[in-house]
Amino acid sequence: MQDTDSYISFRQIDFRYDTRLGTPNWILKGLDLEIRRGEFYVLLGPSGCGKTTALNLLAGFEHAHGGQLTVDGHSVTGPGVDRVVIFQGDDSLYGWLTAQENVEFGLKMAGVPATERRQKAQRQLDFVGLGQQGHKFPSQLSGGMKQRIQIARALVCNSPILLMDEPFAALDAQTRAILQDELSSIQQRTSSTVLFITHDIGEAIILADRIGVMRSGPGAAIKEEIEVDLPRPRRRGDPAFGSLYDRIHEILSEEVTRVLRREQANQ
Amino acid sequence: MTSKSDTARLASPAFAGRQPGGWIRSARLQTALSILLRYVVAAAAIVVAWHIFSVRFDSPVLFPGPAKTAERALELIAEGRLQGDILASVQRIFIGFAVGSLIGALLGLAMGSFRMVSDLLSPLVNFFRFIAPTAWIATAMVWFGLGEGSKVALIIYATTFVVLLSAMIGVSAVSRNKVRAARCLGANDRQIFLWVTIPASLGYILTGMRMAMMNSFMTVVSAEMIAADAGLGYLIYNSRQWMETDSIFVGMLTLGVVGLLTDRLFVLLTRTALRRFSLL
Amino acid sequence: MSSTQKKILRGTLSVVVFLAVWEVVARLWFVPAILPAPTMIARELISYAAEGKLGYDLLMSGQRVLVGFLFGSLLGSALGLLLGSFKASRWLLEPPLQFFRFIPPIAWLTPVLIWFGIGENGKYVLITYTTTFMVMINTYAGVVAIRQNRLRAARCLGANRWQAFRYVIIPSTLPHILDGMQIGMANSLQTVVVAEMLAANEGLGFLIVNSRVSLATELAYVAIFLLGVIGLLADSSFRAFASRIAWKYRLA
Repeated sequence: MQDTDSYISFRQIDFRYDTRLGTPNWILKGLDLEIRRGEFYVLLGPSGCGKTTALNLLAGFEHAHGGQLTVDGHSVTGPGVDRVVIFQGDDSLYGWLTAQENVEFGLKMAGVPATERRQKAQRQLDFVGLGQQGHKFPSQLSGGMKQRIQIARALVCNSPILLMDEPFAALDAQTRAILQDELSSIQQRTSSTVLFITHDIGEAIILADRIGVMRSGPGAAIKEEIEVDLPRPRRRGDPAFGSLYDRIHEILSEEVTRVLRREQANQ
Repeated sequence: MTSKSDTARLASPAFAGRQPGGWIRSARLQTALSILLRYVVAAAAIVVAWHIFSVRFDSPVLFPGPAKTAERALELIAEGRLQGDILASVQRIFIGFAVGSLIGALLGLAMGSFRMVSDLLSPLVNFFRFIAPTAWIATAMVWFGLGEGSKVALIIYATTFVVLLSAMIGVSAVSRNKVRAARCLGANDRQIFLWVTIPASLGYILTGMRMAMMNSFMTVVSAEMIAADAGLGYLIYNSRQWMETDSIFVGMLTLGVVGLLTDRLFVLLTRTALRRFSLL
Repeated sequence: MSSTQKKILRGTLSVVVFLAVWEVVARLWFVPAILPAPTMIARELISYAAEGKLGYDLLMSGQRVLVGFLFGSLLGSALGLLLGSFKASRWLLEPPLQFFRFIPPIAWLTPVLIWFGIGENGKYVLITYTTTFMVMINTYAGVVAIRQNRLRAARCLGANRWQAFRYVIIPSTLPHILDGMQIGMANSLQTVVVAEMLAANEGLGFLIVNSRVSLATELAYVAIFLLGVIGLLADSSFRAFASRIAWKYRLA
């Protein structure tokens, strides 16, 4: 892939935790990852392989110990409204604010006047299918609706990049499927660049333009990248879907087995 | 405090139909009545047991029964003494509680959010919080005189520490993702403190205030026993001189009632006005 | 400099500044009867201790608290476990509990004095009540809060009522009992101090009140300081003890 195409760029990214004994625990070593503008990139991997860390680095919550991380040529120094995170679960929502007020939050921080805020928020709520729920509190809404609030909250700030850390993992299977399809159509309409983390192969295939399968740690990096050329909207029953699933499953299984073996060895 | 199963049972439509006088249909009304019933039955049981015990003990001076105590209560009310004592105690608590809650909440929020503040104040807070307010009574009297000032000062002291600690815990309990989300959405440190930390901790602060209220009663009673000329603590302790055990019992019961009522009132007020924030 | 080092530095600095300001303000603007300086208090601490009197007062206060605390903890946990385990007693018990918790233990001092006189027995009874009540309330809440599924699992696995009590209810309630004891300890300390202020001739509470009368204010501050130290020690050692014993009983 040519450099000029690249929008988000991880180059030789290293990240470690220092354990109490002083020995470093390398989560990521030499991670290279390029994401194009408007691309839906899914990072797939076994638990604990460092995919969340990669997202946290891009979000600006952590700082890399080595390598370069840039967005549109500029280094990432901290969190910003151009890279809003959509978190797993609902603990990032503000329970004392209505759905509408939650969506308005970023605008409020930027000093946008109240009437304008309300209009923009309402528009986004309509866009994600929560048009009539704006006055309700998160505690009164289902898991799926709460994730939609997070999406609306990010979109209302015109965030070009969406960072999603297993956002649907806490939902039941039916809701998850519905939201996957909706997210896919939203991203097609807004042309957002998305970095999406999951350990669910099916989810990856439904959503991704490109899938990066991660190697298991320590010192993880991308093992293999797979282009997903299937036409949208994608259907899970499709034979092409099935064969791609098998292929990815094989790649992933190696890593999962490696993790299991390491856990057993540690005992 | 009914159990969940009680409430569920009472709220079910099937049960509603079988209520005597079917106009009692609303589930909330039923729960309220059931709670009331419990209190009434429990109170009746205690009064009966009390009566039996006092008759057995057979010494109206040492252990008056419910009848004698009630009689004395009416006397004190007629004299206006009981009301005066209640007012004196409650007034002291109110002012001290309000001021102490404000100071405690602000300090606790600051200590929980800014490491510099916490580092500087923690050693002092962690030592003084173990010194009961009543230990300072002698000092308070010297500095603020024998009147209201010393009592209110002690209550401010007591309330501040309790609310401070609750506020600190509240801040530490704020989910990390709330702060991270705010940062993504462009909030700076000041905005995070104002719009995320404070609302998210408010529930804990309110719980702390509720505990501080109870603590304040304990403090004011102690203070009044040692140095006052009005108030429920004064009523209780002073009556010992005249061996007026019935007055003592009246004072103690009144304390219980006033304390319970203020607590319930606090919960009621916060639940309605601050529903979106409270954990109560 | 690491954040821990910064913390220690700032903490020490703030304590030192606090004491220094106190020293200066006290010496310049106040007479010792109103506000003694820290150095005066320290001096008094040493001399009173050297005379052997401090040990006696500490012992008296400590004895009163300890006896009441130990006995009260046993009684309170037993009562809490018993009363919490039966639906009937729960229903009847909660309203009175909610009521009596608003009568501060110290209010009971007066009737206790009338019934037991001014001797030690009265104080033991009072402290026992203080601890019993707090431990009982917490234990009771602990029993009520036991997760249904724990008991159900036990029943599936064939436990009878007594076994369920011994192997499920008691371990599940242990952290609550310890919480109750911790608060009970703090309350007992407060209560004993006030009791000594009103009706004793020795002990820390007595020192505080008596010193005012005899204008030996430094001694009052010594007692206040010691109360803080004792409270701090009791709380942290209890916490250490509880975490060592109870960590595996905490709600998983």
